[in-house]
Amino acid sequence: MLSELDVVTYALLVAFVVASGYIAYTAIAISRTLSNMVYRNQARGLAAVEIILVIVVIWGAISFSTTYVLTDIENAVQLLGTWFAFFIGFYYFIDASIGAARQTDPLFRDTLHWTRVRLAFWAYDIGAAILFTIAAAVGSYNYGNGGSLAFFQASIPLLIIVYSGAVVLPVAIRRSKDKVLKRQLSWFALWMTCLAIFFVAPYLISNAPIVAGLVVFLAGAYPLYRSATSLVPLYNFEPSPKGPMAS
Amino acid sequence: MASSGVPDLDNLLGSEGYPDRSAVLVTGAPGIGKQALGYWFTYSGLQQGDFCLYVTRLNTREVLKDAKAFGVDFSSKVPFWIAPDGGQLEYDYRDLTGLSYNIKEVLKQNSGRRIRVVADVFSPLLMLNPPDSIYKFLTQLLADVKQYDAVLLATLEDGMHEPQVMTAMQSLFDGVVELRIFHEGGLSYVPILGIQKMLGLPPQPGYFRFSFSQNAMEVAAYAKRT
Repeated sequence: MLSELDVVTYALLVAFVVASGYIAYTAIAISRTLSNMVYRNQARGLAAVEIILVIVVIWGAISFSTTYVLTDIENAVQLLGTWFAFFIGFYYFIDASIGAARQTDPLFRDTLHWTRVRLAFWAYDIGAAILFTIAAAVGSYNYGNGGSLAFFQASIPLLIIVYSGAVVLPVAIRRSKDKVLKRQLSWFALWMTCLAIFFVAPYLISNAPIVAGLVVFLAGAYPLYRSATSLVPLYNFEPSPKGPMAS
Repeated sequence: MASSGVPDLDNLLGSEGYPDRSAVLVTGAPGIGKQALGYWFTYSGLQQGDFCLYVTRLNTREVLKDAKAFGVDFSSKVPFWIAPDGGQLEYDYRDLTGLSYNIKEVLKQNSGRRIRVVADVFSPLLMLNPPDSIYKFLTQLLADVKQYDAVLLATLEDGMHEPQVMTAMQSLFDGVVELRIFHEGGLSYVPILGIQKMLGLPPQPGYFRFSFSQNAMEVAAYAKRT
């Protein structure tokens, strides 16, 4: 028999999944209208971040409510599908956003040598994802019990995100003159704030941590949707036979 | 007439392309595909033996790489580059006089040939110089285009300039092609091409859906889905 809290949790989870699906599809639909790969990647990155977040949240909700012990293979899939997928998806979006900002920098500057640094970061992220997944699959490494290895698994991908997202991206945006990109990333920053609140919410509402987290994510759906629809200037149709008119 | 390099677009423009001795402005959001029109226009000109001048804001390696993504390969026939880095002539964004002089000299040296000029520099120039100096620079460039029987195709980014600047720029050109993304409603987004004005053509009230394939652009009449 489901408790009231369970019903609320499931309802919030379904609403979150539906909202996320809508946002991800919007970003993908917009990406298909663009021809430049940098901008396409940015739209796809936004969709990827949201889809991976859904997987992470569902996985989190399941693992909160079960005592099942994962096998090595399940542990490896979990590590790749949540932890590394999230960091790689996030980095994909940030990398594309820095590229988009460069395209609209009138002086086309290579912010903090990003065109070279990004390759090293990609090599690390992908290499670490493959190595740790294999290590987990053969049972030689367990998530959360990796000792010094945890630094390479957890800290470096996080540092890459922090460096690229909090250091390089703001500089690149300041150099860019694209107002649309700035608006889009402002909405994304607001969504990031929701994500930060998510990590605090369970401590504030400790008797219903999943509900608290889902409420925060649902609140974050709006800024993320606005970020998706701000990827390019969009024009609306006027109800006249003349056709589309600028909004 | 100078073929745009896109047969569907040539049909819209009266079957042969952009008018002779004209300057056409393509506006649209970053990433929508404005540059592709420049690549195909240049490629088409090179195939026909025209002299093609490409004035770019990027270094030439970036342009060649981007052009390849649209299936345009400049390896056998190359345009004459004026670029901040890697071109036959290099320029500084703040030296409008020098840039204007160089373009005129190149046009003069090739007078008597059919000339095509592609320029993607106006957005950065407008950001780094007062608009009035850009209007003056552009007026001189347009006069040179007409004097040397050239056709100019320029691109301008949507979303980066004040509306009055966009309007002023559009008013200086003989033709304006707009590339935009329209929200049909729900989850439907459509890239649309509109010819706002074109020398020698009556006003075009219709809108056209466009898409890119591996090495072509397809343009077709658009009707809103109901």
